[in-house]
This record gives sequence, C-alpha cells and structure tokens, in this order.
Amino acid sequence: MRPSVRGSKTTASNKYFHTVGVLLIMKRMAKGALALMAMSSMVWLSACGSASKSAGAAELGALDPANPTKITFYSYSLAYPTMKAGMEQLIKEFNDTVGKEKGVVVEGVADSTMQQYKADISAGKEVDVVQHTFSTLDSSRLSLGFKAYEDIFPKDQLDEHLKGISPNALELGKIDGKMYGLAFTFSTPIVFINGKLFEEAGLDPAKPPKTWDEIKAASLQIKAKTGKDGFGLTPSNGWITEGLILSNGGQVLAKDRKSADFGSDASIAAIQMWKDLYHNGASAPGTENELAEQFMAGNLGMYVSSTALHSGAKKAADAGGWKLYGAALPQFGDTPSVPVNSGSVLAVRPDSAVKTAAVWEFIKFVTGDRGYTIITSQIGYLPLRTGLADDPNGLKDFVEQNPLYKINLDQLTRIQPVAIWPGDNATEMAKVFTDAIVKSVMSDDDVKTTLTTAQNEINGMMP
Amino acid sequence: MSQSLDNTIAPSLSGGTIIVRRRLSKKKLRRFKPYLYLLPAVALLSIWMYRPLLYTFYLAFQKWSMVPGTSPVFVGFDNFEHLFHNKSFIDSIGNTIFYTVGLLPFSILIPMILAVVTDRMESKSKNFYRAMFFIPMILAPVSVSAIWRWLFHPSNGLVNYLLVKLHLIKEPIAYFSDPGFAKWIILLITGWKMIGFSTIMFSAALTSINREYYEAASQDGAGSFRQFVHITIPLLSPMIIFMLTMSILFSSQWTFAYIDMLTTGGPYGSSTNIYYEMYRFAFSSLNAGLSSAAALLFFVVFGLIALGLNMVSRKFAFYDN
Amino acid sequence: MFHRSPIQSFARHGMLVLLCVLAVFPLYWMLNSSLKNESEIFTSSIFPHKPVFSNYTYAFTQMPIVRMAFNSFAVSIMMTMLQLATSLLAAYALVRWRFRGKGVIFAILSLTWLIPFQSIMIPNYVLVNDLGLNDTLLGIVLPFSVSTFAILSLYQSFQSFPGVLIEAAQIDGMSDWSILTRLIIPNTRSTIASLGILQFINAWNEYLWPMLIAKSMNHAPLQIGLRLFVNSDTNMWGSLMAATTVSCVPILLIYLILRRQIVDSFVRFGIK
Repeated sequence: MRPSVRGSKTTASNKYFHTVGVLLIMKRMAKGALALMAMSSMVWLSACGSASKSAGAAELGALDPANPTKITFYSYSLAYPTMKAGMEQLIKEFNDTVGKEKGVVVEGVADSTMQQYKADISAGKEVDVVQHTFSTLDSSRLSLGFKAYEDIFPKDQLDEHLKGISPNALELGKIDGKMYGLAFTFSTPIVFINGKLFEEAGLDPAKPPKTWDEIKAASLQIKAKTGKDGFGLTPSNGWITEGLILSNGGQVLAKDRKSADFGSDASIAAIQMWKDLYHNGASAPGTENELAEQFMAGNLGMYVSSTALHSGAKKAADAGGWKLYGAALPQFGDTPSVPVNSGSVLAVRPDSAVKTAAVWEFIKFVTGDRGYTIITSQIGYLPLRTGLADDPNGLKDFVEQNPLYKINLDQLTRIQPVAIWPGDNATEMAKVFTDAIVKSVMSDDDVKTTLTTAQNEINGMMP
Repeated sequence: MSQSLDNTIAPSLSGGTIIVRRRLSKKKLRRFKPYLYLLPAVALLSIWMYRPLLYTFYLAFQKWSMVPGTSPVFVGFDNFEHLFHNKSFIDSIGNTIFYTVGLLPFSILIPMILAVVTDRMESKSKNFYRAMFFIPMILAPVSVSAIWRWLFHPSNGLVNYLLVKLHLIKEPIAYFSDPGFAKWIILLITGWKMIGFSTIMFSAALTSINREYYEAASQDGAGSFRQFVHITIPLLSPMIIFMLTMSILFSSQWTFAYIDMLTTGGPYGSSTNIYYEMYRFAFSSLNAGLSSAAALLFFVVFGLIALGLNMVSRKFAFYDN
Repeated sequence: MFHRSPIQSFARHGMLVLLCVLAVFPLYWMLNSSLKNESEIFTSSIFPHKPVFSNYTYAFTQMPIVRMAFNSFAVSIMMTMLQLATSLLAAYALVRWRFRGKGVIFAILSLTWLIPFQSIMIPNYVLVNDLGLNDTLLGIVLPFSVSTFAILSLYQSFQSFPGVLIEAAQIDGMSDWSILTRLIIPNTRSTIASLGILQFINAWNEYLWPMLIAKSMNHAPLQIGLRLFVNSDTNMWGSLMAATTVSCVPILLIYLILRRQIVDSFVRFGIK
C-alpha cells in the first residue's frame, strides 16, 4: 500500500502545479483566444435568426375523430397525491367522451415544480395547455408565447361559454383587457380548525374566532391548555399574505400595475400584527409542508391555507378521530376581510388551427358544468360556476355534506385578484415580495424598513 | 521507476527519438498521431466546456429567455447593473463566503486531528474507523438531504425530540425555515459529508512523513503537541494548501444540492449561495443574461483566488521533497 | 515509540467511536424509519417494534424504482466508460510523445478546474435541447463524456510507467496502439480500475445536470426520481425513507465489496 499512497500525495498536490504553468501559457494564448471568441460570437449572431410568428386569427381548424389531434396539458395538480386522482379523472373523462367523439386526445404531464412547462417550452416541445398560477402570468405571456383567448377562439362561442362563471373570477386572468388565462382551479384561504383541540382548550369550534385579536387569544389559550400550537400561517405562503394586506386597507400593487405599493401604513400595520403573533408564540413556525403535516397529525389548532387541502384534512381528521371545522379569513376589527384567490388559470399556446380547435374542446369541457363538478368534488377546489352549488345534478349534495365550502362560496363575493406582477421580471418580483414578508414576520428587523426596501427594489425592476 | 520524470509540462518519455530511420510518409503520420489520440478528449472538451464558456460570456451581455424562436438581444452592461441592484444576489455573496470559511474546519482542521489521532493505531482499527468516516462521502446528495430533512423535522424529527427531552431547548425548532438555523444546517451536512474524505487525504499524507523526524524530536524532549505544531503541520502544508484550494473552489458547488433540496435558498435568501442564484436566474426567472453575467463575474473572481493560492502553494512546495 | 496510558487510549477510541456513530447513525435512522408502520413512524423508538414492508411496497407502486435504478446504472456506466476511453487515449498521447502545442493542451485541460458547471449549464442545456436530447439518458451522459480530472490523473500514473519497457516493446516492433492496449493498460489495470470506481461514484451522485435534463420519472436516475418524490409528497416519511434506502443500497453494496479500492482511489485521485 505504501508506494501508492506515497504517489498519491504527489498526484494531489501536482494537480495544482499544472495551473501555474497553464496560466503562463494562457497569457501567450490570450491573443488567439480573443480572436476565437470574436469569431464564435459572430457565428452565433448569424445563427440566431429571428423567427417570430404572426398572431393567429380567430379561426378553428377541422377536427377528425378518425385521426385524433393530440394536445399536452401541463398540470401541477397531477403531481400532488391529494389532487392527482381527481385531475386524472377529469382528463380521462374528457378523452372518453368529448375527445373520442370530436377527435382530441389530451396527454397530462405532471409538473410538480411548475418549472417543467418553462423548460419544455424552451426545449421546443409542444406545450399546449398549462395550469398556470396567477402571479407570473404576465411574465409567461411575454416570454413564453401564451395567447389571449379573444385572439384565437371565436368570439360568439367564447361569450357563450363564459356565461355562468363568476365574473369576479373571470377578471383575474385578464391582463390589459385581454384574457390570458381562464379561471380553472380556484380556492380562497380558509381557517381549518381541529375541533378536538378547540374543545380541550375550552373553546367552541362552532363559534370560531372572527378577528385577528380573537385568533391570537384562541391560539394562546390552546397552547396553554393543550401544549400544542394554536395557530399556523406560513410566512412564505405568498398569497394569503396579500389577503391580509388588502383586508387592512392596503394594497400590493398600485391600481395601474405600474408600481409596487405594499409599503403603506395599512400594509405595515397588517404585517406588524402578524409579526406580533409570530414572536409571541401564537403562530407556529415551519414551512407550508411542515405546517400541513402538523395540522393533519392533529397537533395544530388552527391552520390557514387553501381550500385545496380540504380533502386531505378531512381524511386526516377521520383517521385521527377528530372533527374538522372551518372559518373565513380573519378580519381586522369590524371591516370584513378581503380574501384573495389562489389556484390557477388555464393558459394556452396552440400552434395551429387544428390544435386551437382541440384546445378549445378541452377548455370547454374542463371549465364546463361537468368539469367543475369533478374539480370540486374530487379535488376540493371551488366551483366557479357558482350555480352548481344549488344544482341538484351538480354539487348541491356535496356542499351540504361539506359545509366548509359555504364559507368559501361566501368569500367568493368579496374576493380580490392576487397581484399579477408586470413584465418579464415577475418571478423575481414575486420572490422579493415574499422574501420581504418572511423577513418582516420572522426576524427582528423593522417591518417598515424591510417592506420599503423591497418595494424600491421591485420598482427598480418594473418594465 | 528510473525513467519517471517530474517535469509536468513537457515530459519526454518515449523512446521515439531513438529510431530515426523511417520513411517520410510514416514520419508525417507519426507527427499527427498525438493529435489523433488527443482528438476525442479535446473535441469533447471544446463542445461541452469551452464553447459553452464562451457562449456564457456572450450571453452575459444579452437579454434572453431561452425560449426557442426568440433570440438574444444585446443590452450592454445592463445585466451587470441589475446584478448589483439585486439584493438577493448581494446577500448570496455573503453566504458564499460563510459557506467557504465555515467549511474549512470540516475539510482541514477536524480531519487533520482525526488523521493524526488514528495514524499510530494498529492497522485493523485504523482501517475500520476510516472506513466508517468515509461512508457519508459516497452517498448521493439527494439521499443525504432526505435523511437529514427527516432527522431535523420540526414536529417529528429525532433531533428536536432529543433536544427537548434533554431540556436543551424548550420548543421544537423549525430548522429549515428559521433564518438563524437554515444555513448552519446546510453547512453541517456538507461538512459531515466532507470529513471522511479529508481525513483519508491527510492520513495518506501523514503516512509518507519520515518517522525519523519524530524520533529526533522526541529525543530532544518535544511533547506531542509541540511535535504536531513544529513537525506535522509544516510537513502537511502542501496537503493543507491543496485542501484549502479545493475547499474554496468547490464549497459553493458542494452546498448547491443541499440548498436546493432543503431550503431552496430561503428563508428570505438567508441560505442561498451564488451558484444557486445563478441557477434560479436561469431556470426559474428564465433570465439567461443575468445568470451568465453572474457566471462571468465569478469565473474571474475564482480565477484570481486560484492564482493567488497557486502562488502560495509554490512557496510551500519545498516541503514536498 | 510512544508510551500511552490505557486511559488515554480509551478516551481516544471513545472519541472515534462517537464520530463513527455520527457518520453512520443517519443511515441507521433511515433504515429504522423505513421499517416502521404508520403509528410508529412518529415515535423515536430505536427499533421498529413490528417491522413492516408496506413503506417499500408503497414506494415501489408510486415510483418506477426498478426503471430508475436501471437508468442510474446505465448513466453511470456510460459516463465512466466514455471518460475512461477518452482519458486513456489522451493521457497516452501526452506521456508518449513530444509535440507542438502540448503546452496549450495542458492549459486547456487544467483550466477546466476553474469552470464551475453552473457557468456552462445554460449553453449546454440549449445544445442538448437543440439535439433533441432533453429528457433522455444520452442527454445526461454527453456533457460528462470527458473528464480532464481523469486525463490528468491517468497522465500522472502513466508517467511513472517504466520507459525502458516501452522502448523494448518498440524495438520488438509493437505498434503505438498495441503499446497502449497490450502493454500499458494491462500493467496499470488497478490504477484504471480505481479511477473507474471513482468516476462511477461521481456519476451516480451527479445532481444538477440530471435534474435539469430528466423530466419524467421514467427517464430519471434514482436521485432525481427521489427528488421529485420528496418534493411532491407530504407526511409519507415512512415510504420516503424506504425509497431513500433503496437509492442508497447499490452504492453501499459496492462500498461493502470494494471498500479498499474505493478508499484507495479517492486517496489516489482526490475528488472533482
């Protein structure tokens, strides 16, 4: 063994001695290298020809049932165990019914990180329909070639289809007056409540706290009586935070969407309140996943999150032998709270007339009566055709069995859109905003300074 | 071994020059032969290393989302300007330094002590210890992250359970979402993985130190600590500098996987590093220009550091022989 | 040479045993958790009271683990073979001949040390896309088909190969190719094997690039499949630890069998 070990030592240190000689040689080579660099960049420049396409007209191609058109549907719901089955059912039902009849085959692609559609579009793959979140829609529209519904689908058919969908919801996917996304899966924030912990703490889960002050009192009471955390809201959640700010009279983005505006006193006060909960042990620490786990394991009294977790929470409650209750997003004082929406729109980018027709069939199905019935009953999102909740053939029974949905449908009337950050720096802006909120809540830094700094940084990135 | 040469830049080993009587065509062929053998390696390096490097330098001055059908647009030094106004990027530089410096105990100090302590043991137990220390090194980052995530889980993790049981903390800590802990945990995991490897490197270097030095020192009455300081450290200095260089150049790459798996750089960027930001700029914000500008910048910075360390290592090189 | 008291020796071993425990305990905890049932997973018991394999069956139904393991092996073996082939040829040329531009070649090789993968990922990603190799195993392998680390390491080993033997072979009329394949390679087998093992482990553990290229579980190596699993599932720690255990088993088995060679090759060549 000894000789090899001896040799090894020289090997290891010699690797570095190469570099010395190397750098000397590089000096000599520098001239040549520069020429090479200039040359190659010229090659690239000439290789990168422009290839922009003109906007398509609102005409649909002819579908052929004998020779079906295949389209891809990128969905994050397909990647989550709690939502997967419902989403698969939705796709399968379409393929077996309308798809078969008209000649469309939809292929679902699970996209757990919501990054894959970007990567695949940049890889030149065919990405036709994307379940897209709100905050970065504008950026995708600009850089990923998503199309406005008005530009590609026939106007009369579009108008006909949109009837019955909550007008509030329709507004949310619009940018500069055009619809770049049709509201698809949709939820509002809700306070999930563990009935057992409430009762153990001497509280009545049927009369849940309404204001943030009551939340704090209840949370501390649960903690004192049961030793378990009373309340949880993840600082990095992103969207519920916006509801908090709006509820206190602040705003995230200015009305004209030209600047960020979350540094106002109302916003600061809202975040300050949350910081107070957090630092006084009234708000449990943890990531979104960790808090969800904690709640479902029966170790958290109240948990604010998306309705999408309803089916999972209900199952966990049944398994753990406790009862699940719910409450609306808490309010500041006497002013009713302003919830924002979470969830997704369908963004489309068909590249031919036939595909446009195929995509349109799919859109009509999944955002139609049957589609929303499946989405609500199997996955847990809200029915955006609100009429379905009273429709005996639709979701009447379901909503009666799951009273938590009434809270959400009620909130739908007060809902405000989540901020769609403008321009192609949207992802970066959304991150700066979220980071600033997390920092304000968790650290000892001054809320006002943190938010103002972030606001300025975002304004520096505005288009 | 008589023929082995130490000149690393232009070694001549072959007996090729001995046989000179060859026909011209063969001679010509011979002249091309080295290039032929080098061709696959050099061609592949050009395609996958140097072409992309130059392309990255080019992209640093462009704005591009990498979407097919779109082309880069020249923007001058805009990307660099944005970079220096990007708070998360500025913060990431501080973290990069934190990780680089923080890793040094794990890659040098602790391993050196372990190597010295195990050095004079009988070979059976020595090999056993070293084999055990080495296990973390061969495990994949994803597996390692999954395991530590579970160990440090806030409500159900073993670490919190034990700390609470031992009354060291009052309440469970959410390590990965706490800005005070996130980067320390990542450092700890990276270091945990490094110790075994560095220990073995130092052990190998120790084995080659001549025992007579110690015997002489011992006769002069020097205690083990003084021997360590006056003999071991100077004789190990080439290895120390080697590990230092590796540690500095690579620590940002070693932490990358854990950042991505455990915290994605958060909370509020408190655990990110420059390489993770580059990745985020490119594949999350689809801003190839910004990412490339950062790459260009740090290529230069690390180049200078490597050059500096090289000079230092040449100064110490005489200990090697 | 030194006289140490038993107490000192005991303390020393105690410290080392403690460090060993720190090194391997996480692995034990992984295995332990993977065998616990749902009600036991959240407890801190050191042994599973009633070991179950349901976590494994769940993991195997949720992920194409066999397929992913195959992918991992395929990718790692392809990378290792390509790297060995290219570096054997290159190192041989560097040791064997004196030729014009040798300095430049060394420069090209050594400078790659300074190129972090993150600074070339975008162009390589674009190229792999353009070649239509996104989400394929070949797309993962190609950028790693050459390793300057392997070239320089082999170069160092070849340098100590006795020159007289080469001269003798040449006088016997052996061609340059045969000198490499029939003289040098057989005689440096163990070195090449160590390097191969090292490159295999590196390939197996590669993270960033496979993560960018592998999109679907069917085309993903174990590591990346596991990453998708980790990020998509909550509250399934038992099966997550089962999947992690499965992902560690191949490399641990290799380590168990080839421990000496693996440790030796790391010592000999360092890491990249």
